[in-house]
Amino acid sequence: MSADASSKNGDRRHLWDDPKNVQILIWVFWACCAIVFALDFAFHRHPSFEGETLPIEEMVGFYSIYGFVACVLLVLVAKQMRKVLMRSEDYYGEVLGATAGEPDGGARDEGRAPDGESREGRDGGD
Amino acid sequence: MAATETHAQYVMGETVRLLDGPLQALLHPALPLLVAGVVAALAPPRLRKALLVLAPLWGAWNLLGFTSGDLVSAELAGFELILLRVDKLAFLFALLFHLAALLAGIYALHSDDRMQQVAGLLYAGSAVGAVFAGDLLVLFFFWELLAITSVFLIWARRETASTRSGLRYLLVHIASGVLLLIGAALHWIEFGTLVFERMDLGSAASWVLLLAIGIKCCFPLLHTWLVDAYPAATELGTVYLASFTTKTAVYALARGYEGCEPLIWIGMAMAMFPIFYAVIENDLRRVLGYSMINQIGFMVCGVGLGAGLGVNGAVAHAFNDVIFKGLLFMSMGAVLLRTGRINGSELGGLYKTMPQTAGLCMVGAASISAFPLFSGFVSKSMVMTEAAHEGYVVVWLALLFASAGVFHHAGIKIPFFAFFAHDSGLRPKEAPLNMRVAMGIAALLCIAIGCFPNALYALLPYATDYHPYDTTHVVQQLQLLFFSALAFVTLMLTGIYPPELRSTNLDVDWFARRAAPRTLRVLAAVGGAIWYGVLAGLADVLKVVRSVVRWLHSPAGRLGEPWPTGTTVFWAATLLGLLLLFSYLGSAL
Repeated sequence: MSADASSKNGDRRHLWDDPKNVQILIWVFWACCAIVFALDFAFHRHPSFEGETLPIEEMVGFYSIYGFVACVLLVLVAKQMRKVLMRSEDYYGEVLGATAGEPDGGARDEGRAPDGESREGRDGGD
Repeated sequence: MAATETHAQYVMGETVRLLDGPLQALLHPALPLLVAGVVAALAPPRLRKALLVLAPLWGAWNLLGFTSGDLVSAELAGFELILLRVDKLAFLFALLFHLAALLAGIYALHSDDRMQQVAGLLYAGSAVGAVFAGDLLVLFFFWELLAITSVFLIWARRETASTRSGLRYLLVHIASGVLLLIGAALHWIEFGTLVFERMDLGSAASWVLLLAIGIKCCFPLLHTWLVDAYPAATELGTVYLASFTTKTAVYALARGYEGCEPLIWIGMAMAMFPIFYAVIENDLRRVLGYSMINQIGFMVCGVGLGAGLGVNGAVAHAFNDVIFKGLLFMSMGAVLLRTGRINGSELGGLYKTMPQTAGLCMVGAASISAFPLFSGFVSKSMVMTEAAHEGYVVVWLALLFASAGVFHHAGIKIPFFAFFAHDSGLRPKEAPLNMRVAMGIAALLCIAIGCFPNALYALLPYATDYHPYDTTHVVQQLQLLFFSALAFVTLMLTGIYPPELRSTNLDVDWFARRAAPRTLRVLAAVGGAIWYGVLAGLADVLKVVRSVVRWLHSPAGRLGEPWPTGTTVFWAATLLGLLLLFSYLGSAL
């Protein structure tokens, strides 16, 4: 894994650059979901609650449906929250990494060791 | 020996052993780290690096010499202070802190920054001291030391934004310490003792102390310091910060408030609300901050559920959380170091040149999501099981929701937006070797604990025969997680998933950072207007008085003009006459 700085975007094709591979992954994932769902027919899950506290939990596919619905709800609600809560990045007048996030990402780690040295120098001064 | 018997009750079901004989060769467990921190402040770079790794090992070796029941007390100004109280609960946390300090120490080896190295060691030492503190005064001392040492990990970023963030962090934590001290004083007044042991909610002291601990523990509405300060620290600083402060608070909660029912509901709220923020947050370390509050919610809930499986689950989850959350923060720190960026909107495709970091991050993600065979599974399920066992249906459903949500934002979002998603065009180098070693050890621990949980269970405060791996548990969890992922995939493919945007999302700290200053400004303006109005009115009155005086006394004024002699003599005679009249009347009476 050489991180050749000169090969910016023209580097070799990686695993997920190929849409075919991504498609295969998605199909495998869907198959997994189907299998996991079908496990409810193969096993009897013991209920988490005693007695008749939460009968719905024993329904086939309860956990699958709950997980799916929970996450869809989560995202939809969060999306609505943005309308109320989202402000510009410098809303409080201070942006993290404003001095560090230079566009040349690779350059920063090159300058890291000397950076550390200069910090050291600064520390040594006291 | 009398002291021995008095203290027997404070130590969980263990016999008390006074420290004498061979034990005297041992140092207080906090000392190795604290001494190393002080030495590091003066040492040359190489020695400092050695200390970062060797001090936690030395401390752990020293720690292993102690057993439950060990007690050291000292008398100070009439108070008997318990400097050291060892039991299974404290021992487990201390061991965890040494492990965390070791991992962070290895992770720090590429850097020469003295400020962070010293602060990191002292900070870890303070946490160890805090969990062994037997009374509230000693706890207060280490509580404040935690705040003061850790803030330098934020300031070490040396940016204006992080300096201000650090100040806010310090303010909140000093306030927490002051509350702890007030609580200690109230405890002394109410109960005549400073010993820190289980309390029932009701006394004033118990509420004040709960508030002090709650601030450090990120109770809802008191949580914003974490998501404000942790993303502001350096890549190394956040790894340290994530391990000690909140876990010390969880320890204090488990020590003082085991089985207090309100904690169940507080924990439920903590597990729920941050996941919504985590979905829309762009700074990936802030996403991890929100997910940290979510995880602490499970622990708080466990403590509220009480002795046995509840507290065991809380403590075990704290143990696992330090490792997997540390691993996630380490991987994001590596990304920040190598690219200078941490926003989801600016990252992506890093797996091409940072495949090892990506893989290790995914192990952390699987652990926090509680995938079977990873560490989160064996501890989170304890809290869930106990909530169901106690019949808390709403809590159980909420925690299940939160479990699905945490997979969504921490398990998928973090690795996906950093390492995959759209190609950002960044081709950074792989993380430094020392970082990969630290992450590798953490990842191995995640898997080892997930596969062989009994080693961890043996350390827990209560005896347990809990078995996480039964078919029902595994199937339930797999269904929940796969279908959460399905929701993510579906929302991504249909384009409903909200894009990562550069933004600030308002949280309750808005009230302190925006509303309060603005209100104060308005109040100041109104108050100022009133004040100046009053002053102007007074000035007008004075002007009138002055002009009257002028009118009377100026050379041309009524009293200023020269009076004729006759008039003067007339008034003088009148006054004398009046005087005479009054003195006559006075003597007649």
